Amino acid sequence: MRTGAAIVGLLIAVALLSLVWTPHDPAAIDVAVRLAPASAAHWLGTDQLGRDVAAMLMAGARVSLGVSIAAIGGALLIGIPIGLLAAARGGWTDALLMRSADMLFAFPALLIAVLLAATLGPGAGNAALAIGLFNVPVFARVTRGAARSLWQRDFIAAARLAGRGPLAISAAHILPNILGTIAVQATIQLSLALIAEAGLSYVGLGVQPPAPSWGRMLEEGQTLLGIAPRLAILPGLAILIAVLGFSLLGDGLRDRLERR
Amino acid sequence: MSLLDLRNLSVDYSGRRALDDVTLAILPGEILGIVGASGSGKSTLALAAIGLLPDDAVVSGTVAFDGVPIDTLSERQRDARRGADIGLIFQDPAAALDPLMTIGAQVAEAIRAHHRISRRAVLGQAAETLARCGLDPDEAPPGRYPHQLSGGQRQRAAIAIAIAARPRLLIADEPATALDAVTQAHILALLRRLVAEEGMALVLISHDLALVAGVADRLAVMAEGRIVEQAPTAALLANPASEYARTLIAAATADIGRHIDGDDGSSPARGGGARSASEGYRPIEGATPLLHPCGLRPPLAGKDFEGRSVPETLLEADRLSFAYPGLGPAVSDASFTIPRGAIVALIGASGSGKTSLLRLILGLATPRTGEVRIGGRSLTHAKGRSLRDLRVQVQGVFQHPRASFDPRWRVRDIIAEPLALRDQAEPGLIERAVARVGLAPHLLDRLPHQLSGGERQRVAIARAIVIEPKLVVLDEATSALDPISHAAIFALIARLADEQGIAFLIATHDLVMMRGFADRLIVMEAGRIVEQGATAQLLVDPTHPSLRALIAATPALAFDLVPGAVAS
Repeated sequence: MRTGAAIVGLLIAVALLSLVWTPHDPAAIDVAVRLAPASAAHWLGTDQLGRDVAAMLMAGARVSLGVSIAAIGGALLIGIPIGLLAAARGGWTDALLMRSADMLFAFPALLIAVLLAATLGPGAGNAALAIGLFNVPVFARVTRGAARSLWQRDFIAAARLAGRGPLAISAAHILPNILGTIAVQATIQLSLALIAEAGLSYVGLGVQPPAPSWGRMLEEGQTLLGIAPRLAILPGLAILIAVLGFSLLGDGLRDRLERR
Repeated sequence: MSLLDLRNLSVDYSGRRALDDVTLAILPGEILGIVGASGSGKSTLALAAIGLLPDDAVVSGTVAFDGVPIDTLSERQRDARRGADIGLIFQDPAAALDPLMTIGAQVAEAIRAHHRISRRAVLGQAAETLARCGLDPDEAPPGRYPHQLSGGQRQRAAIAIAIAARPRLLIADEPATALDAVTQAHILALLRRLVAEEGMALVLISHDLALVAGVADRLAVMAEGRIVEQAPTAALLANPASEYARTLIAAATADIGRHIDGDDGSSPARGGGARSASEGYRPIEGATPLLHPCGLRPPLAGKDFEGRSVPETLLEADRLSFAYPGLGPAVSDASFTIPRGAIVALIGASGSGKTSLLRLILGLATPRTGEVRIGGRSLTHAKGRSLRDLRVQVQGVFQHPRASFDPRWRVRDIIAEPLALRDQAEPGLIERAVARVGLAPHLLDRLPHQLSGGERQRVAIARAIVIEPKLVVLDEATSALDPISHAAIFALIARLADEQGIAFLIATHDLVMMRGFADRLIVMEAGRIVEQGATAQLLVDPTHPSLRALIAATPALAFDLVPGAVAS
């Protein structure tokens, strides 16, 4: 839990820092120092165009985290109300909403994202949209499941006796009691979204050059794997650490919430 | 030599003392009853006796089984002892049974864990053990899964697992608390028979003094982690030395409407159905304030529940039927009325449809046929504005108060929630409700888990009366409480009925309590109302076998109900 929170915190700090400061301009090409090894001037060396790898990783964190958080945030905003509605109404409303969610689930998520990003055109915004889309049913389902079991509880019956309608009950009793469950799911989905973003960038459907991204750094680096393996290893490591951080955070949150 | 020997045993959980210097010995073949209020350390004692305390418990003192201190044993050796030497029975059999295994397989597993025996032979032995625990192979064969059994059958299966390896000591922690009176009597009779047959010792832990006293040879009374008194059962009941034991005995006997006769040594609280009718009826002397001298609450002014004049009707249930999808009918064709200000008891075994009927009355479920009318207006078909107007009149108290509170809400907000039904709530209503139920005002800022069982029940009742309804519906509202809190809650209900004119509909399987308390009885069996009428009359002259069985299983009543004994 602590480790996860520390990793995620550090990544966010680095991403924020990159808004105001990076050791070099991550887009600045300087062919004179191309493929330089790590040094005091270039902490992690430079790539085949002489761009500073450390700066690119920092700026890439901003893109990777930004796209993932925007995608999951959007999915939460849409998925939670759908789930609450399905649980509160039951019957055919529930059936309709959940079968629609099943339909979205039936497609391989990344394939949909690739398809969508390809149709809408590449770019950070569209990548976030594509990743967010297949996360909506995830949160709708989690919310609905947790809410359904709460609706059977006596304190909901007590609220009904107090004359509260389904909407008021959902807001006052259901949502606060399932936020923990949703938070755990959100961290897990964040780590998946991070991989999805890297994947989209890798195939060229994510953020466009010159803006750096971990996925595209990986793609560009792999052609030089024999000459400068660190160009592929470093962004790969960044993705790995970020995913690990979110997963640890999610696990820790779950343990802490379940112990209560 | 004693079988289990606890010496100066103390247990602390992160600074909170759960057991305080307990010294206790259990002899082979003896039945020891441990009685105390909830939170007195009874369960901690049971866990300590078998070395199953959680890791964060700080233990001092010694626990020795058969002369061997258990803290000298390795975890493996302790595992071997559990089950082989000591069997355990818990309050909730559903939690003790594996839902995905047949009961036969679970008993077989318990046998094989401690005895080398062939796969084939063990199944026969398991079937025999189940039969010995009263599970008829025709009604509940070993191939059944726990969910296919009734509550009583499940507890029998759990007992079969506990005795499978033929332990020398059986520890039963509230083994019958979750069961209705008839099943409770059967389970205790079974435990007593098994102990006699097997020569086992039994530690019977319960908050219910009457229940334990009927079975135990010796009693230990616990309060706040300490054993305040231990003595042979008859001696302790006749001459309680400690103030606390006296209070407990008084509370248990207040339940049955009479006080203890200190001189004859036998206690009316003694359960087990052993009392014969020839002991006759003794009138109540010095009855508790809860009870009217004739055992009934005084009739309300100008009203009479004996049928001579019909009091004003508050609620009418008209031919209600209800079924859960895919299951048989839960309520069939139930009709009754509740007069204003009356206390009506809904009696029936668990599973007889009491809770379903109450949910219909509260308008939480919609009946398949029939309707509920409050003051002549249909609750069943009410919507929106008129539904809110009817809800103001009927409020409910649920079976488990803690489950009926949002765990994140503070007591003040919980009690205030129904005030939303009023367009403009007068100030001070919360304070008034809190004062009426006798709740300390500083508890208003607590969260539900920071309250004791009795306090929670008072909060639940405060929430039900805060908008000053005309009817409060209670579902087994005191079954989880110790006798002292239990009697206090009923005294509170009686006061609210008398002073505020609130009518109560109380679902319960506690006939004893209702005898001196309810104006009318409604008896349910298998979803049907099989009998209803004035309490005094029904108890003296029950016609339906279901009510007869219930009266026979209730020790204090069987003793009472020599025909004509109760003035009607």
